[in-house]
Amino acid sequence: MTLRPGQRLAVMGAVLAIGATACSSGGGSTDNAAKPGGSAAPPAAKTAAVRIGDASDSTGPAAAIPEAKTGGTALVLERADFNHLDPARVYVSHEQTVLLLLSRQLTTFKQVDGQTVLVGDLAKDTGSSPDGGKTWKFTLKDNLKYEDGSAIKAADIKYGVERSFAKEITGGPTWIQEWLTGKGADFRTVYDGPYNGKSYDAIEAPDEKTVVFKLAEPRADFPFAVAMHTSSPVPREKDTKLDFDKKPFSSGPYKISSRDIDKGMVLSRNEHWNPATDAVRHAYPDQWKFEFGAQNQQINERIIAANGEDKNAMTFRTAVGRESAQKVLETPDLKARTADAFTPFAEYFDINNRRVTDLKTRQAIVAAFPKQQVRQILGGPAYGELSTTLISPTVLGYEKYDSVGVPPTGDPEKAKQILAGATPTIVFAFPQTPVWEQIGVAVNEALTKAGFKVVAKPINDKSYYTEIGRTANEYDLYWSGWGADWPSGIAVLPAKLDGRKIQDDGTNYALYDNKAVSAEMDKIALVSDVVEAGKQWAALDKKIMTEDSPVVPFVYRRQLTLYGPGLGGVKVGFIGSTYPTDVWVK
Amino acid sequence: MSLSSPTAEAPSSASATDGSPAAAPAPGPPAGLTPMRLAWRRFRRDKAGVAAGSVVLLFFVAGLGAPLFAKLYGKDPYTTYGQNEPGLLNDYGYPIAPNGGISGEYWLGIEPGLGRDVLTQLLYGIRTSLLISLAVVAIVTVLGVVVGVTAGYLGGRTDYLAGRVIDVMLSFPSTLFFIAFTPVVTSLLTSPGEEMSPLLRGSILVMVLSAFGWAGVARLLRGQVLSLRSREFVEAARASGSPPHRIIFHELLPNLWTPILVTASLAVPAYVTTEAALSYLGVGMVEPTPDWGRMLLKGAEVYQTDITYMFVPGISMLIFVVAFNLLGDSIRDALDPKTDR
Amino acid sequence: MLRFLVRRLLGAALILFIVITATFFLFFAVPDDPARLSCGKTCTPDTLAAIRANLGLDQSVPAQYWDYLSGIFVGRDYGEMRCDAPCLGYSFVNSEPVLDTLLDRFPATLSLAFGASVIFLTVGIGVGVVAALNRGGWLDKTTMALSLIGASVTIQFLGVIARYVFVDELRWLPKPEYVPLLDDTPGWAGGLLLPWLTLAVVQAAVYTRLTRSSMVDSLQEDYVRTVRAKGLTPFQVTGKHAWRGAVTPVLTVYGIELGTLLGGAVVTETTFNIPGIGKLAVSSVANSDLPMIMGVVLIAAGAMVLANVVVDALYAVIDPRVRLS
Repeated sequence: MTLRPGQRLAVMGAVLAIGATACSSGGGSTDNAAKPGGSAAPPAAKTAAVRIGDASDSTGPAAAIPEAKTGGTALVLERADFNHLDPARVYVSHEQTVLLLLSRQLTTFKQVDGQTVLVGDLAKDTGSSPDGGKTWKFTLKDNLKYEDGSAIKAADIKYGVERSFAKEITGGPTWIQEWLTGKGADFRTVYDGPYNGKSYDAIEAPDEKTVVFKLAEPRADFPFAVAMHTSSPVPREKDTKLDFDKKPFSSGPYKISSRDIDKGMVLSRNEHWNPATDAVRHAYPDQWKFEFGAQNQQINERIIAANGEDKNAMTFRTAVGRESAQKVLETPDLKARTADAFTPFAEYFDINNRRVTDLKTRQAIVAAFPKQQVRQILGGPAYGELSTTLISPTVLGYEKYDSVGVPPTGDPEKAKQILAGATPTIVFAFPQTPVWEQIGVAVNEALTKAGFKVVAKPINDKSYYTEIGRTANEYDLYWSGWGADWPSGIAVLPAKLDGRKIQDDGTNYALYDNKAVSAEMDKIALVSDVVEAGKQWAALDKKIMTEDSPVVPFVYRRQLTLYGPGLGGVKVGFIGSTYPTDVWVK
Repeated sequence: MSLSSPTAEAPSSASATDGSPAAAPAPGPPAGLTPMRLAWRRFRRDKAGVAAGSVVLLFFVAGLGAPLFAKLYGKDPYTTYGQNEPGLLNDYGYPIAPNGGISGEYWLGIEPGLGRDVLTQLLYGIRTSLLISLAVVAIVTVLGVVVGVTAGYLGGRTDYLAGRVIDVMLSFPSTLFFIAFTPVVTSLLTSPGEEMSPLLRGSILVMVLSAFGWAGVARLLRGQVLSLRSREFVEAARASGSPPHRIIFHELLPNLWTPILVTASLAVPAYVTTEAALSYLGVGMVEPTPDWGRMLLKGAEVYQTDITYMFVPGISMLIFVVAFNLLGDSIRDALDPKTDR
Repeated sequence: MLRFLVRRLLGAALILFIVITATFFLFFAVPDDPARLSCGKTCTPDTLAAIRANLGLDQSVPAQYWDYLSGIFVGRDYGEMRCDAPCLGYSFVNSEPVLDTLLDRFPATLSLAFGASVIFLTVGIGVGVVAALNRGGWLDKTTMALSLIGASVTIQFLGVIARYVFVDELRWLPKPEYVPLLDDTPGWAGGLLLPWLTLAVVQAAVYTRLTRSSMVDSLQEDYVRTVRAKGLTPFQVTGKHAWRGAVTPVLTVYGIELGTLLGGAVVTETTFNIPGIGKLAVSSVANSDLPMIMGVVLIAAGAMVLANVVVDALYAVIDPRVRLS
């Protein structure tokens, strides 16, 4: 049988005809970004938007929001239940977020006119140090109460921190433990928690209102560290050890009234919480209802549809996915219902500095890397702002610079020049998911154009971090994300690039080890003025990238979440999740 | 045909899709010694069959000739045109032109995100699907025929054993096994720092898909052989002292061509769908090998903004499977004129 | 009849045993260390060893196999925790008992299979009978053409397009989702309507073709011709006699299909995000969650084998020509 030309066209015609009648109107024009309202551009990243507040900033109550009112039930939709609710065990951002409702700390963050301000929470101010940062003293406010009406005492904070040393109490941050003992990750060799009857002398509670921490070395950032939930008060008689994780004893404005793990949770008002003592939390709704188990896309669809009680729905962490970002941002009704801000999360493509030892090769990777193309696959501007620095704009002292000066699409010609005829092989590792496979294609194409030989290596999605976290891994280039625990360079650079912290499952994924840089980190860590320290961190950031190019900075993450039309005061908070503290039900 | 015998077994047991495509009723009884030429003549008179055959042939030509076509058309399925040329994709990675970016330059539009050419992706995707499913069908058919005929002819213990093995194979939740085993086999065959070649990955898929598919064929063939064995001409051959291989090749096989051909022709579209389902579930071919299942997966993701991208692979696959099923029906009618359909 | 059933059930149990054994040993080829996965980010060698001991991963593969098998019949101990029979172990990923998760997910799968079956059997058999009685007519030709297309379309394509057209654009159907039957019955039916219909379109086509062809065969059988010769109308013939012969192949195919559906309609559940056994299968494979994979395989194979036994028993009831042996 011979093939007639008409046959092929007939089949294609059928496809085209259906395609033309039933389908998409197209993505629209590129100049959308220039139009107000239809803008895909993210809010501008602010620099150095961090300040340390004083006692007057720390005094409650929080300034009332003009049209806000008290009452109603707000609904929170999340994909999965919270793994931890024990303040000594939470670390993940959405868990920290729900604990804003259930616990209080020595200090906390407040947003004033778009600026992040560190203020006292249980403490009257952000603490004081008589000796340049080695000893830190906090004085508690008056009228602080737990959910049962009993008073919050300084000894409870001491006990709360002590129990975070126990070997059963895992998962939380370890800054305070490490700084108190000066033993790094081996802090348990000095003190291993209160469960065997011992108390820890480095923390003192001389009276009901005063708590004193005696650190091993000066740490100017200590007031930031106690904003994390490790410093939450726990009365010894209420400590249920492992069960505390399921139902913590509340010091915050709400308490858990019912919880069905993996399905839902209801928080009701803690009547004993006194708004006059709290500079940050508003606690407008009477009740918070949580629902777990829906997929991210379903959550967004529910909030878009806003039927029934979904009218009052929000989500702490379910970002608008790439499948609906365009629809949400270009539909005014929906765009008006989004919380949108930069987060402390920054993402990088780490270069394995143990394998790629040649500086020129690393610089060429940075020059050739197709950041914009990769971001387009991940959802475009809604995903984040392309970055050239290690620390992000939410961090104190941030300064913009560009160590290579190439367009965001990468510059294969420039990379070729740097390589000067060499053709190194680069193993690019990524989690095996459809999206990342596509990123693999884009990275492969760009680096190949610049003269690299690229081996694309998908890794099981679940073991991705374990795999790239092995110091003996056999990959050259891989993605990782990092969120600063508080807006200071010390929460980014030493964790990410201190060569002494290279270990299996560590966070120095680039395996970057420069003795001079490590020494500089130690020096800046001891600077007692946080603003001055911020400047020095930024300078170190630039020095590392300019001299060593150990990673490819990729994006500063943006958090874009939807909320129902029945809510007001929904904002992205400092941790990078959507905050419940200002929310009210219309 | 005895309706109580379980030969009403469509090749659907191979299917990893929930709805078994191509689960057409059982082929008819053996038609005696029908010359192929007669069948061919009958087939040519069947207009629907010829049309379906032409479409199938067209798909074969399009798939196998994809590289040549790509050369004439001036695009390839790997270059990310949309990312390289401004004005094709917007900030979110969606085609700017309506209908998925269909234009004189990109006949079926461009892929959201990476901005590759959809038409060449589709053509290369046909090639991937066809090569994999043809390989599976070949293996499954040969294996099934060997086991089925051996069991049916030898009978006794061998038959009992084969029967039980077939029962077990057919009881395995095959869909589950496809998704569970592909990653296992894959991780066994590669080490970190090494990229798996598309050929190896394709072979793994073929292996996993073949592991279960033969059982259905074997069961069908066994039933056919059992009923043939008691026919006079086989009894006669045996009585006259013909050696077993002679009986199998000269007496039995000629009578088995009809069910074998029909099963095989209906199995091809079933495996095309199955392969697409595996890729859709994330265990099939990976980037950058063009693949229909992955196009459908992406289509399902972007359908709210760019439904065209879903239509292209979806409709193409529908046309292909319909044509192949029609062809299978026609082949059966041609080979076995007694069946009435 | 009883002897037949006992024999078939014993056979079914044996098949299940073989399936579970094969699955167990095949999956020990997975190089991912499950203890490592459940240990998480802040993993120390001590915790890792503890998890390994707790999960029994420090023992040899045959010993683990024995633990698993005996757990099903007499239960087993995990450290301080007691897992009562039938014990299918605990998930490596979230430490939930496998059995609880399976029981939690099964209603969704059952709902999907049940509703879809009702629709596709009614429509498929009904249309098939009409087509057979109308053989050669335009009605026959049209339904056959439509059913060919129906049988050829893929769920993932049809599902998404139907959703786009009927849910997003026309808003005729409610958004597909799974709501437990007892929580909200209208919501249950509404949320599953599109998945049911999608699955039914693909399936009904198969049954239409099958019913039609076996009805055609059946109508030509001697005994049907005899009763027809006695002056019964085609409808009486169908209603009283022909259906018996015609329904057997339909039942055979449905038996296998039901087994498959109860083991989780993977593509349908994935396309519509229905939290059933099929979705569980996909996620537990992605997580290398061995106990969960074993549980899913067990339930899927069990459904398949059981459906076959039931179908065989029904043959005898429906078709007088079948002798149970």
